[in-house]
Amino acid sequence: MTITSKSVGLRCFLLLILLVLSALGAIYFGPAKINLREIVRIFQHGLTETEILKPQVVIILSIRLPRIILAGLIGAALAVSGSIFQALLRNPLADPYILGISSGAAVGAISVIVLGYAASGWGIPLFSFAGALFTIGLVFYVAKTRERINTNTLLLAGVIVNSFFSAVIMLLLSISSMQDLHGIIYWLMGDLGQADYNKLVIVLPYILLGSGALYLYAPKINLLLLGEDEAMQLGVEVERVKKILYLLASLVTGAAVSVCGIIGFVGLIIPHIVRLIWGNDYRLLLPASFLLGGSFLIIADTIARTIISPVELPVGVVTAICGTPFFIYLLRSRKVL
Amino acid sequence: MALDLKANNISFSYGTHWVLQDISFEVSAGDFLGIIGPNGSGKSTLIKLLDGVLTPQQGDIQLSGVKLTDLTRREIARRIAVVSPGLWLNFSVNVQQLVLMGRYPHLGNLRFEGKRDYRIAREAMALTDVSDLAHRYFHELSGGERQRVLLAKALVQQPELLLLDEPTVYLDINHTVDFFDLIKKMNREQGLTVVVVSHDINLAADYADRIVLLNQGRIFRQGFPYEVITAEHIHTIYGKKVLVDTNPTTSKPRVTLFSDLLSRLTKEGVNNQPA
Repeated sequence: MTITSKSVGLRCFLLLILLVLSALGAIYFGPAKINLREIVRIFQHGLTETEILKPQVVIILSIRLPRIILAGLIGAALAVSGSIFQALLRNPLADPYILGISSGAAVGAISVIVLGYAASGWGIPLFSFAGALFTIGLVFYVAKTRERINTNTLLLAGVIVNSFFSAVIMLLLSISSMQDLHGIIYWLMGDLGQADYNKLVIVLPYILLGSGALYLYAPKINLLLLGEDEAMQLGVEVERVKKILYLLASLVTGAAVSVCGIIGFVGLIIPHIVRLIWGNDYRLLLPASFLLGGSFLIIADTIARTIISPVELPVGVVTAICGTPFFIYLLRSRKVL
Repeated sequence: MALDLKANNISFSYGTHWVLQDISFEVSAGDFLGIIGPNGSGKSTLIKLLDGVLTPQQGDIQLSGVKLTDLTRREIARRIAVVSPGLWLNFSVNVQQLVLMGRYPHLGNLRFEGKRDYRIAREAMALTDVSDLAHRYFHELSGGERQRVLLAKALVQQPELLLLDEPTVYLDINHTVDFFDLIKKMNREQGLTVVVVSHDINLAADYADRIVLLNQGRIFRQGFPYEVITAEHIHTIYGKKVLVDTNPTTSKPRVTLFSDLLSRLTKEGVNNQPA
């Protein structure tokens, strides 16, 4: 398969159509019935003062739309950072959470819940982002020796920090009250129910700028797949690139986790699905994962909030349940990653 | 500027003890240099130093008068290509994609490969006899096929200097000869400068114009093959008796291994071929 700017553009355009279709579908489906004709009419003629207060419009604009956009952004962010960690660690099993960012963020989020500051709405994202940043710095510091980052050491440092924070999470869980537990569990399984425009504004720059900057490194990431010495021999400043990839992918992950908790599986499975279909060229893999990750999480979240409506499932449950069989099917039919 | 790679008194250590000490030599445009020496004498480390993947703690290496440490990786990669043994991939990359990666130092950061790059890749794959493998996955290939693919990738880089680290360990005898013939031809006809590390003394002697013999991290001798490869030197370094005569087809020194056991058995007539 040959990769050209045209073939990348075409495939991304197809995925963009998929993204738009899943967003439109997600607007339509939900516990409150939406009259399609009415909606089309309203949006064609522009919103007037009175129409903006109609329940249907309110549901769409202030409940479903921010949630759908957030789902799209988070899915995109996790898929992109997952694909980066897979290349950085040269490990197909890597996902965005492998270096402990999610556990660090979880300690921040759970502390806020246990201490009773969750009500303000800003506490959880702020503290979980702080927890993520702290973890990113700690793992980096542990892994760094003489200005170099050894990826095996990075992986070990991540695993160790991860298990430490997991212990802290267990500690916090064991001392938290029954009322808090529900919130904590939902956060740990990933929940998009708290979406609003404020959260969007917080994460948008991290995710868009972070993913955009990562795309500039796509050809270098391809060479990193061959190993660090090979990449250096082919003209990549490997140590600098590794640090940049680690920091950017971690920031993108940290931002995503801080607003919606730990949504599993997207970051592992989406890059592999793209790989299995279109191969391993990051100039295509990164934008395609971004778009497919977005669509996937929008669809998963729509299922999560409609399947046993009015009760909502945590979206992480749906991503794992939908994702696994599909992934196994792809793996069995192609047999290579 | 004409290629010239010069190592000035370089010493290198991975941390505890010196792997290479006080190494000085020079490679000029059009040279074919062979580096030989026993296991652990620092051959592979020297290749990594020459390409700047590792940096010596003492001394420096200059590429056409500029220290390697003052050049960007891309500047080095446009002039020097390396074939290392045993590339292991955890992800599936097909042969054509891998070979095209050799174009990276010549492409802008986000430029996709154009017609010219594909043509260069096709030509290199034809030269190393891997055209049929273009759409196979690299990890599915045999060791010998992989080496030839990696040579194609190095040629696609269009280097002035080619560094080869044990390039033919996995190759059959026919592919070994083809591999070195191709390199020798490019050395003669296009002025490609070659440095090859090999544990196969005869191969190095036959193809290289000059030989550097390493022992325990130091240069033991360097010079023409007949100066360096002598029974006495080999015995000193490898601790084994060998016979050195002349290869009748190349007029280069030829080393024949000598085993006390086999020569005794042969004398007793136990190891003989049936007449």
